[in-house]
Amino acid sequence: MLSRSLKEKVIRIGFLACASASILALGLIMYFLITEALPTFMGFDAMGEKFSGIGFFDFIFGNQWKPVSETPQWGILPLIMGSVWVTLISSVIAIPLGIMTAVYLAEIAPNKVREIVKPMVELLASLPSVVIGFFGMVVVAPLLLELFDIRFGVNMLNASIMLAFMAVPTITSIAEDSIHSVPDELREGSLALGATRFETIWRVVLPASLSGLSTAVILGMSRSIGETMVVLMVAGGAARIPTSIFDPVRPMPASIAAEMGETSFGLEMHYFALFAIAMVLFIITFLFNLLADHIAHKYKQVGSASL
Amino acid sequence: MSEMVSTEMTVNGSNIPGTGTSMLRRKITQESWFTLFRAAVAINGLALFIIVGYMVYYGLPAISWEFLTTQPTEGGLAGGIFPCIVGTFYLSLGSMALALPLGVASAIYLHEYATPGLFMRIIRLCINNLAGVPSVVFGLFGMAFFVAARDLGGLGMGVSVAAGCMTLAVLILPVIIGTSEEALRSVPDTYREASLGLGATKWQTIFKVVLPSALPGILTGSILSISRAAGETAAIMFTAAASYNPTLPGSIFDEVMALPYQIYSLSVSSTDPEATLPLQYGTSLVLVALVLGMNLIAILLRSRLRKKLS
Amino acid sequence: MKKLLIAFVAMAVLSVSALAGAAEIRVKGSTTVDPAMKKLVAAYQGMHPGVNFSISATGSGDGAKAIINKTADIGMMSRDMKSAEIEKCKANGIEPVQFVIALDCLVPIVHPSNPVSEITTAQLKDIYQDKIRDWKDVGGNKGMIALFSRETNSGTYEVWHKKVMQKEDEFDLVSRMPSNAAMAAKIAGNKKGIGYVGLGFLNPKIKALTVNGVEASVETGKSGEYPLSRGLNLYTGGQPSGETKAFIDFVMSPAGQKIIAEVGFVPMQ
Repeated sequence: MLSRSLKEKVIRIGFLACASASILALGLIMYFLITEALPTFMGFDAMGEKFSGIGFFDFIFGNQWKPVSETPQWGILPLIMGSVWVTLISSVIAIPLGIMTAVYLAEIAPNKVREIVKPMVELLASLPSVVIGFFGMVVVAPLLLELFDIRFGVNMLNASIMLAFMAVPTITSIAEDSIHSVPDELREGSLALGATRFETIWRVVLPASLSGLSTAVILGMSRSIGETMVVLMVAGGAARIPTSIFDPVRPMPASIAAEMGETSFGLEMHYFALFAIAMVLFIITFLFNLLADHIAHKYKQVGSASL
Repeated sequence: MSEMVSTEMTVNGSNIPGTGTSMLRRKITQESWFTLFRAAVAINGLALFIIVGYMVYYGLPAISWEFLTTQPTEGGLAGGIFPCIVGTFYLSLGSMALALPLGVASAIYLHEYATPGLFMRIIRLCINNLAGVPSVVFGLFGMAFFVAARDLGGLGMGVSVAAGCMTLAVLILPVIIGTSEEALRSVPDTYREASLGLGATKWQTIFKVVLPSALPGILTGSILSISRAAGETAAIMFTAAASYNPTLPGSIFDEVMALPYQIYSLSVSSTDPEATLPLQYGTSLVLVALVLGMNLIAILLRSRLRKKLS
Repeated sequence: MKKLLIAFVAMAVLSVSALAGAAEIRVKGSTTVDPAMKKLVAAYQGMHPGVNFSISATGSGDGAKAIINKTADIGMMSRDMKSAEIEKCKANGIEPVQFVIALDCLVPIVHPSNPVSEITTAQLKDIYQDKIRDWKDVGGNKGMIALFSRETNSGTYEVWHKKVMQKEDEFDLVSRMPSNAAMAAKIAGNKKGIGYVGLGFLNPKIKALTVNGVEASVETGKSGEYPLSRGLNLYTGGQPSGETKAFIDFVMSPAGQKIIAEVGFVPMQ
């Protein structure tokens, strides 16, 4: 009996070790991002030559990104603003679309329709990003050039539209879950008081699932800000704080993916600076996830009692 | 919040439901909003339909048996995509083989062993965050950790199948944990109680009772994660992919071609993006068919499962 | 389903064992050299069927990186190695050996419908610094100029930066393209665009501009008349040997140089 309980203990520890793999993985990712990004700020030695680092605030708030220049400049504000704008515009499209789809699925759709629409949303989610980027490049870009009197077909608007369709499924599935978990007695109460179905949805169900909806929105935005292939292929690549939705922009992931191939490994400022951008990107998505997690925990819906 | 909701309701309630023009107006409001909701769904459907439709319409003429089974020729300007299919096959299956045992074991710990507490909260937080890490960051991590050999502690595998599989494995780990946990959750507690009651140990219960009943759900999850790995581009850009390597990899330390990278490379950096447009559409169609097909299988599998349970 | 899977695995394994085991030459680097390389490889494989190649074209920097890290046998570069890269090679015990295989001309390009057909390096510099904004100021129809340039760390950009921009920075409202081919495709679809590509990437869908009155061609490139030319390089770590040497010898041979001329670059011999 003793050996049996010992065996159980060993197995339990084995599983615990496996479960810790995620912590280890995240830890390793952070370790490598930080160690490869630090020389950007601390300076480094390459082949006996001493390079001095740049200040963290100069890096974040510098408004010139000119890695290859007689006087290189390492300000990533244009890249951050590129990411922010692309994410915001795509959210303007994706949030209403995603939440309305979720409401339809959870509250209105007849069973038969839901059984078709739900898989459809999941399939939309599974489309590889490179295919969406390709579509934006060969179909949407010429179309935009045709429709508007603009100079660049691959631009912020194009990237935002493409990103929106990648964020919609994320928003829809989380939002639908949270709408679904609103207890039925709330709906029944509202309907019994004479409210229409829409009034019930608008004034009872949606407010009750607000925390889930915010989580959905945050995770959807987090997905947009980190998406790489789409912005690499259709955002246009100009490192510049945009002044119009038709300006080409260079969001952070695009800059990393486009430039990493041409830097010298661990030899030049450019290489380390790209890791520093990756670190900034990681921190942003990390904060988004923490926020989502916090909201989900703090305002956890536990039946009707919590409302 | 409950205060607010109830006062609102009284206001609405005092409107004397079911009579007169106000009810009509409210019905009209409802109908117009519902129409809007339906339109939102239609837009999503349309987007899927248009994207897939384009790939099918322009890609189908490019696809033939030769296209699928021969090597690219003329430096990738013509010929087939067999090495890309094989490369994607290796990368997705390899990463799954690495991540599945780890992911299922994690899920078992989280669902069967762990008690709610700080440690559990931390693990969950890590899994959620891992799921949210941008794929290009995974790519850089893979490059620094698996590919490079440096004083920082890189493993020095070079750009290779092995490095790509490991990077992708980390990327799909959260997907596998999530779906496996859901599968475990769907196993009724009565099964466990019965097994424990018969004198089985916890491990025996998990291995002989819980896992077999959760297996279809886990299978669904692994199909989903294969499709995720198959479509991933940014994570293999710096860790596994070559734009032209028509010979199949001889060992796991060779570079491979892969479908998603091939689309990117043909459309962006190949010699002649115009002339290879049919190839690009063809390759996209193959990738889309592969990924959507696997997802469809997973969806059908899951719906059958749910029906069986309920 | 299961059977199908097993069959597929078996097929994959079989095909691997059938094709593996031959000598392999790994080539990495510049997207400019890439098309010539692929043609050269195809021709070489026609004569030596046993030799396998893996080509990965992501940029000149990657060519240098691959030589430094020994992840490739041949590095393609559309610029010369920087002194820092050479130092790093030496630190890793590698002596980089340079082979200049061709000359290339950087050619400014516009959409075929654009009436402009000649330009000067000074005008190019002004256009790319937003001092000239309208096509009518360089002899075209009225309309804003859409600037397209290359990623700032490509070898092609470095030459452009040096020879046209005189090492000054470009205006920041410029769409950056990852490769010559992407640039050509983009200009072919944009009536207001201006960009630049290597000589080998000219095609009927884009229109080349003469620079300072000289048309870019193999002849003007060779004579030095054309102002925007550069050398295309292959690098190896140490003197090449075996199959790598045989291949580079082929590239430098009259047959290889003929292929380079066919792709549109200026042969050395």
